Amino acid sequence: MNIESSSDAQNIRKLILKTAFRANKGHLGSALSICEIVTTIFKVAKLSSDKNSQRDRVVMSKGHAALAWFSALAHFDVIPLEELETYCVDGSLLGTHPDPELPGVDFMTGSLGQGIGFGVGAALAAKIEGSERQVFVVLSDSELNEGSTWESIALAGQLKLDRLVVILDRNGQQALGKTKDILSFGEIPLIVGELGWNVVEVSGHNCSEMSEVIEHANKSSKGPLFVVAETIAGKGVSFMEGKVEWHYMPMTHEQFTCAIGEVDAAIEALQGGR
Amino acid sequence: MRTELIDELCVLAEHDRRIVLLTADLGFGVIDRFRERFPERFINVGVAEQSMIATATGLAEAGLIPYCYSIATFATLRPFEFIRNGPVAHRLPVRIVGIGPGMDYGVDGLTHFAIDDVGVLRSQPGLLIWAPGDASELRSDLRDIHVDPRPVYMRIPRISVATDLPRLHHSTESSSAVAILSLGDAHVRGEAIRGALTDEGIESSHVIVSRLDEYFAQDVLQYLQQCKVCVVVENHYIRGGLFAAVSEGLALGGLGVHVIPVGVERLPVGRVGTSKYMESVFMTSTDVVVKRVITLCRTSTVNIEHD
Repeated sequence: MNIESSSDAQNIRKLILKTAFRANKGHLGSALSICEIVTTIFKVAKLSSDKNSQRDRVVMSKGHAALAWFSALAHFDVIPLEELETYCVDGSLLGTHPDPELPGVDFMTGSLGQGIGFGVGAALAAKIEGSERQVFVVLSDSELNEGSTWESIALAGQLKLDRLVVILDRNGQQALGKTKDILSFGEIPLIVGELGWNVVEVSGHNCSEMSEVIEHANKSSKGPLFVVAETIAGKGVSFMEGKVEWHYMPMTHEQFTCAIGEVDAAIEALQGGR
Repeated sequence: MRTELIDELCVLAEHDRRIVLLTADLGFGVIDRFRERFPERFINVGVAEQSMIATATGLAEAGLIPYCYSIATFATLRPFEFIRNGPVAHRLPVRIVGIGPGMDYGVDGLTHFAIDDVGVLRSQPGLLIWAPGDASELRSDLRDIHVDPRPVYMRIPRISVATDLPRLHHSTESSSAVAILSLGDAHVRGEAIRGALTDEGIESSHVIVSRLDEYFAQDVLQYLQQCKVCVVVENHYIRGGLFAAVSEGLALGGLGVHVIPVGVERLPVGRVGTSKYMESVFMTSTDVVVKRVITLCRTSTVNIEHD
């Protein structure tokens, strides 16, 4: 079957909506954008919640989409499903940005342009130690505005860090508008390729395609892998898709009901497809 | 002291394979020895201090012990947010090696002066600032600092002036009524002030502050129990650094001590010169300090005379 999305990703999408609505929080567009990306990481990475030193590392460099990662952690039983109910509640470990005290979170992020550098260090450690462990970084395209992102991209290419996989969530949006209208960096795949990376462009809502690209690169790559994942901000909820305002806005009850209905319908369609 | 640091690091690295030396393209003629002996553990990240600290954070999370080498102001101020969100937030043993505290870089000007680094980094919980007073302390204490689980900022002057002065963190005695506290290599100026006070018949005790961390306030309170006038000497702006740390400690402990700051008093621009010249222009002068000590002693009940 051609998995354009997957039931895992759709269930993560549903958890994001329920959790954000309960907490009356936003950042929905960014989180819904990466449901298939985080699902893919769970499928290809060797993760461990007990901080085993040889586990693969994951860095949510776009820390404001932490809810997608938390929802994936709950969906794949790394944290209890009930823990999502503490999202943004006083005393919880689940805020709007990731905290490494939480099982399944390796690095603290939230200030854009920092997480990729942590990932470069983690991949360099693997190289120095001769370890096969991989490092996955989820990068937003707004982070390409940060000079520090380019410092890290250049260094990883220079050092040929072939255990590093950066997945660029190219949804073309950032807080106040379209990325191309705010600070355009031109042909990103060409530029990153020039800096010593293997660059592949895929649909960021197709788990199979992303998994294949990463697994193929594992066997053949002699440099870091930069997966340009074309995505849609707010993916899966028609009235949020491609709308800049859903970077921040929380949902009303009516919007929530409508959004959940759309995702439920998508899940049913996937089940019907089986 | 740069050479001594790299020499000692090479000795440690022979036995500790966790050590990785990163540089932001600085250390010409100094870091070669490490690079030649441990090429697989030497990384020049380019002129990219933010990337250096971020990379070090990832290395340290994996269990390695990265040393990040640059000029002090570049190593601390440019990547400050990375230090805050990286090794500090994650409580990882990243070592930030900042060369040239104060106006050590003389004619290179303000861009090269680390005169606000302590003020900025002192705000960070769980970070140790280490300012060894001389090469001997660096050699004797690096092993101890190396195994400290906290992130560490090492404030390393280019030139070492040997000293036998006691260090505050080792001190078990109280100061005399007039005390001098010098931050790291500022002990040279501190000694000049002590000499000038002695010439005026004022006895003083002098210790070097080489470690600033969460234990400092306790140490300084204990040391200054008998003190009436304390002179704080630092190669740093008089705001935010050791003067502020001492004053905070005294205030929190409810200890009434007059504190006189000796440091960089104003923006050091508009002229260039050697570090000695720049210090003579922009730092509190010894004459002014001595007069203030004398005035404070005369207006208080401090017994300042020699026995």
